[in-house]
Amino acid sequence: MRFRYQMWTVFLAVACWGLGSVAQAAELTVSAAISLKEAFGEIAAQFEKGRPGDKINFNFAASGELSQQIERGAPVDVFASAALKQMNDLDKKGLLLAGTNQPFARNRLVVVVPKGEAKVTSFEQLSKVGRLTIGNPRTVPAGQYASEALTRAGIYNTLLASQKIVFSENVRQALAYVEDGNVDAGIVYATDARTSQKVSVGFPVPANYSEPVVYPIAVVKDSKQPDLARAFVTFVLSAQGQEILQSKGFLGANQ
Amino acid sequence: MVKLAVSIQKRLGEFQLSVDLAVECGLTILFGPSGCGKSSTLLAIAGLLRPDSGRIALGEEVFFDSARGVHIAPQHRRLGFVFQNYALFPHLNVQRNICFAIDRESPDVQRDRLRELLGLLHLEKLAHRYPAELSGGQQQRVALARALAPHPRLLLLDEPFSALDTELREELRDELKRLQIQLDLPIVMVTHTRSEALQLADTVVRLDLGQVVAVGSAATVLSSASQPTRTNVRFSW
Amino acid sequence: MTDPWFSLRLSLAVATLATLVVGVLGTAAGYFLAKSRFWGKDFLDALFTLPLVLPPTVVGFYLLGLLGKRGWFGQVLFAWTGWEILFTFQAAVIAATVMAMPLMVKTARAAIESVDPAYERAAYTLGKGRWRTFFQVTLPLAWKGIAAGLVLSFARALGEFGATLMVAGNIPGKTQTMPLAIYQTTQTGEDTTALALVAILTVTSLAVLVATNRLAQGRPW
Repeated sequence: MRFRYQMWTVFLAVACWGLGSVAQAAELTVSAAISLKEAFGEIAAQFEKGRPGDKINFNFAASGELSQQIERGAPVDVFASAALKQMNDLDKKGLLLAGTNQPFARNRLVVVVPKGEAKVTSFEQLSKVGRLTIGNPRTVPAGQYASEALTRAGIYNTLLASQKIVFSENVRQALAYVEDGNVDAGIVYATDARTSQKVSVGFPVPANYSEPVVYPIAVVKDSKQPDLARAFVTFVLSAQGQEILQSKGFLGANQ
Repeated sequence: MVKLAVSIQKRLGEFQLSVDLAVECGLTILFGPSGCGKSSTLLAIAGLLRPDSGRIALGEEVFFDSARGVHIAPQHRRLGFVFQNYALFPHLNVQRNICFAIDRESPDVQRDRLRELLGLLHLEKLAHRYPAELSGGQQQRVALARALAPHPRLLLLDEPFSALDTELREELRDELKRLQIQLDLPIVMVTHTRSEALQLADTVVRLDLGQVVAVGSAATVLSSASQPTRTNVRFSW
Repeated sequence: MTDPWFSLRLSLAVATLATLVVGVLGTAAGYFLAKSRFWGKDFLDALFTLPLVLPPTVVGFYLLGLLGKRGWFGQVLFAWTGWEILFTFQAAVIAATVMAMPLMVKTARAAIESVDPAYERAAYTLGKGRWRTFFQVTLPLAWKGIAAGLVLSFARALGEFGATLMVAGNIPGKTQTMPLAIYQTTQTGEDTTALALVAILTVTSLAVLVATNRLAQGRPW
């Protein structure tokens, strides 16, 4: 029996060690679309540098999940979404601080192919590839923009009918399909294409082919520190914040 | 002498148990073919089976009375029960099986009682064995010791010898009778073996089809010629 | 920003606590389902099994509805204590608990049902009530099965992702457990970090599972 008690002791020790990780102070919580992780990490570092004592906590997930959490009353101060829809829904329900909802960055779609494969440089060539991946238009904003652009180019229904389109559940998965050569081409954000060494850009999707890919930011109404939250939003929109965003491949809010 | 009075009705599927008996306890045997309701009667006395209606009392103490809504839980009846397959706790050795009922007593009390019971049932050498390491006869003696440990007011035995071979049966029957006299402990025992009833019983209660058909001394009850031989009807539950 | 050691500690703490809660509640529920007969028992059993069948994000969605400041439990909690449970360590424990519960209830029920009721009846006749009988007879005899349930629950809790993401958030340094850290690094294309995290979680899980398996089988180290 004795070893059993040893085991329990080990378990308790592990639990205590783990519980040490729970201590926390008052902080600003920013829910941000996961595609913003790199850029916002740097922005937060700069922001904190100018305001000693203030700490930014990020909550990274898909925009849809983040808006669900806010809707159910999660303690979030700032919401940065990868799509207008989720933000506007929250705004309509009165869950955002009035007048704080505004675009802070834009993105654009690009067609990517596996590195070393023949480049695809037009929609005409794209319509002839074996398989193409885009995000699921029903759940992934990038997929919705992509389907709009393909429709505008007049090839969406043909591709769909010939079962050449593989839907992915997020942009990262779409990128992985292309990286590993499981599909011949994919439509992803320019910022995502930048992060991968295993794909090359065929051609950028013209901006007027789909709704503009806008990233909105806002202060959540229930924020307990609205002043600090506003300050963070202001910083994202400042020249310094915009510069960091652009260094990660985003376009400025008003370009 | 303490009197055990049982008058109960219980519906078990298609079977209707309707037992009415009162015995002055020495060693009483509930006798009858399998499926006659004798084991159910024993379980009802122990509190493990709740009758639909009726009354069970041992001396002054009422265990069950449907009219007054009395149903004493089995753990409060202070009865010893030896099950057909003994039900010795497989995770406890002989010593801890026997002391199971008295494990809240002081270590001294436990030790004394254990020594007494081990001696009484010739189990001294087996105290540290586990049930799986015991023969059938040894298991039966441990089950007896375990039931006796908390000084029960009445000992209930359900076919205690059925799992043993003939020779061992003879031996253990003698031992049980010796114990009953030595401890002056009332016993109610279930069996379907005639020789057992003849050899042991002070009183025999004969049951058939869920009802008491005769009560009396072994000689009178078991010699009556009108033996209903029932090979065609078998109840089981 | 992603601290793998913090995430590992957090995951172990969450999984350990969830396993303790699940061990007690799940065994109690398993005992209840094994021993009692009542109308709607099958329904209750199915309800306990539901988190096993539903996609974790759906469970997370239900939990959000329950625990959020506008959810019906979260509302009461906030009104009484002013405490918000979403995005906390406790929320992660609740998510892991709910997701691990079916495994515990199922195995505990099967283990308890496999104990011959004759032993429990014997305990009653020896003067033991329900509680003592449970702890001195039923639990020791069902221990192997219950221990297996604990191992499975711990594993499930350690790997829980979908429901945790919804109710505890993915806050690095606060609620980012190992699975969430892995999710984040794969989402942002940090493949090397992701691989390292996966390796750490795999090795830890293997070690814990081997250890607990041995414990469950009553074997020494």
